[in-house]
Amino acid sequence: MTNQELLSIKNLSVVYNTTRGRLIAIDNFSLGLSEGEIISVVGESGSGKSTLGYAILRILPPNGKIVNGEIHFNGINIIQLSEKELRELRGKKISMIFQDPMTSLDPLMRIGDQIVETILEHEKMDKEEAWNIGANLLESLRIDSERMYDFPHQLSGGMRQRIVIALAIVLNPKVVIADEPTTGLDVIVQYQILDLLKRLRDERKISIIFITHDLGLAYDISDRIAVMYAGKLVELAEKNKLFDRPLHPYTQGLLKSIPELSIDSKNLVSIPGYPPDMVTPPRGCRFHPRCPIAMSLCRQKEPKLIEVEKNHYVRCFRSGEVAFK
Amino acid sequence: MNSGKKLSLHGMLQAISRVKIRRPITEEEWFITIGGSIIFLIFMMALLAPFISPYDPTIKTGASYQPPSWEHLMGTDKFGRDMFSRIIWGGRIPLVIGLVATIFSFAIGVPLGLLSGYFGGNFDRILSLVMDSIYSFPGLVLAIALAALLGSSVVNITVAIAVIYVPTFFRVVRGQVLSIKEELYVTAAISIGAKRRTIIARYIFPNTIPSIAIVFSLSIADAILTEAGLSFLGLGPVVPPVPDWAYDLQKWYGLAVSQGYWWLAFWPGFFIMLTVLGYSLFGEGLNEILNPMLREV
Repeated sequence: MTNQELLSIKNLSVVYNTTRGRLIAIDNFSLGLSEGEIISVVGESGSGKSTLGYAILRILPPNGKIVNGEIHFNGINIIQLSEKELRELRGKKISMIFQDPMTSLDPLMRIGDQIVETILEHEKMDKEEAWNIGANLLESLRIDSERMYDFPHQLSGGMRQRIVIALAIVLNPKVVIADEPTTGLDVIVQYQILDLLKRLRDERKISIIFITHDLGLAYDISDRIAVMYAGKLVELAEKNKLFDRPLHPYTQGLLKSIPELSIDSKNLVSIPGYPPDMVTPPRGCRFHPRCPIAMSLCRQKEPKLIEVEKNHYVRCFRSGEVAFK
Repeated sequence: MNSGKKLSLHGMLQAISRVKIRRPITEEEWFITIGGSIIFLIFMMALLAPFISPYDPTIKTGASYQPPSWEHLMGTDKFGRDMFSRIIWGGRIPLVIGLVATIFSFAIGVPLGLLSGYFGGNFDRILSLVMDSIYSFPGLVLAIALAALLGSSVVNITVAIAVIYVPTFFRVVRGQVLSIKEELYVTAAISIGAKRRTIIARYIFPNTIPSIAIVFSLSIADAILTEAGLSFLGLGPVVPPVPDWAYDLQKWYGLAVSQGYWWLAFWPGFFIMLTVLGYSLFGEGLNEILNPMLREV
């Protein structure tokens, strides 16, 4: 991967210690993000996609641990930073938008106070100045700045998510990790949020890691799409390439399972089976128990991530075969 | 208001009468109102004692053992002192000790609970052990021991009572912190680079206040009872002839029973009961109102 990457993740592995044993949430994951790029990380629940966001900011829960790998931001290895250096990084260089706008705002703090609090944590200025920055930011996100005086419960879900986004970008970070930011919002609001994120990328050159389980949203917003399965990166490509010529059977299954709004499509296609238990993942390729084209080699050996064509990576033994689409 | 066929009784009544029916006052609102009023009135009584008490409570103002009359509303005691004046003045010490002791407990228990709950680990384990051992003593027994150890002055009794309620605050706050620190908004605050101090003081502490308020009110009620208990056992902070409800109660209850001088024991006991009732109602009312809200938020 190239040198001008803003954020590069190399061979990252994250493990959770659970009562049932070690759960490998992310296994040997690599990904690079360029300036102004939007990458979607797509996968089912439990595929490790949210853990990825938490790992980058080093805010994993206490039982979670990065056991291997490097995360470089602008040449600094985030894994080696001290708590104090991390605090300076968080919010100011990399920030995160959380899944649930209903619970990611402090219910007892006014919107304005939360924004001011965030600014003052990083910048030396007086409260009034910070308040004005917040008000201007809200206006630029097309939110009435009078909302600064409101408490979270006074706002609608879409409005709250825009506040959460405002909090994430108020310090002009370079990278924003958006962890399913549109979950629980209706479709129209979902697209407003996507448009907002795209605008932020265009206007502020913010790079975005967009974590989602919805391939439709991923296609709409991103430049490249990374597909994760059971903690592994299984396919990575530019979005049109991934949609036109998906090479991993899991990606193909995901694409087939997008419901179509046409008259003759009556059946909703789904991938049979369930995601594997990550404490005892299957041997060989992790997808083989659910794979329609698995062969005996897949049960024995783990395939490597290979670049089948330029900038199109896939982790499958049979990706080279033409027959398989 | 309801679409469809389901009509509520409320809606029907409104439709028929075309008068807006007011929401009835709920039980917990009664609790808070009555409790709050009792506390307020008793505090005003103690505060305005110099202006409203008809006699000096420490000197002889009439014949001994007079039953209640217009001259002496609550009768007189053995030394001919006016019981009404003694009741008015006698609230000062229990009220102040209850409040100050609880403030002390709050000031020690809350920060320790915050730190213990937030940082966890061995610090939390040791602190919890200490607090649980204090908590496992019956409050009055511990207060007696401390009062005997320190000697009974107003300050010492306050300290002894304060010690008893530190674990109550500690446990409630610690428990709250354990759940609040898992909230997404705390993770969100960490993710934007907030310092630990900011997270504890600005994000976690305010969210524990509803629970603290309840404990605060109930602890004052309990502290007043403990003070009364100490006085009753002769370990009280008061030196006669300073008026104090519990002191008068323990001084005269024997006579009240044997001689039928009921007013000597009835009024001090009644006012202790009333004060404790006020705080308890207030605390219970707060509990009823704030706890569903805690669940909701």
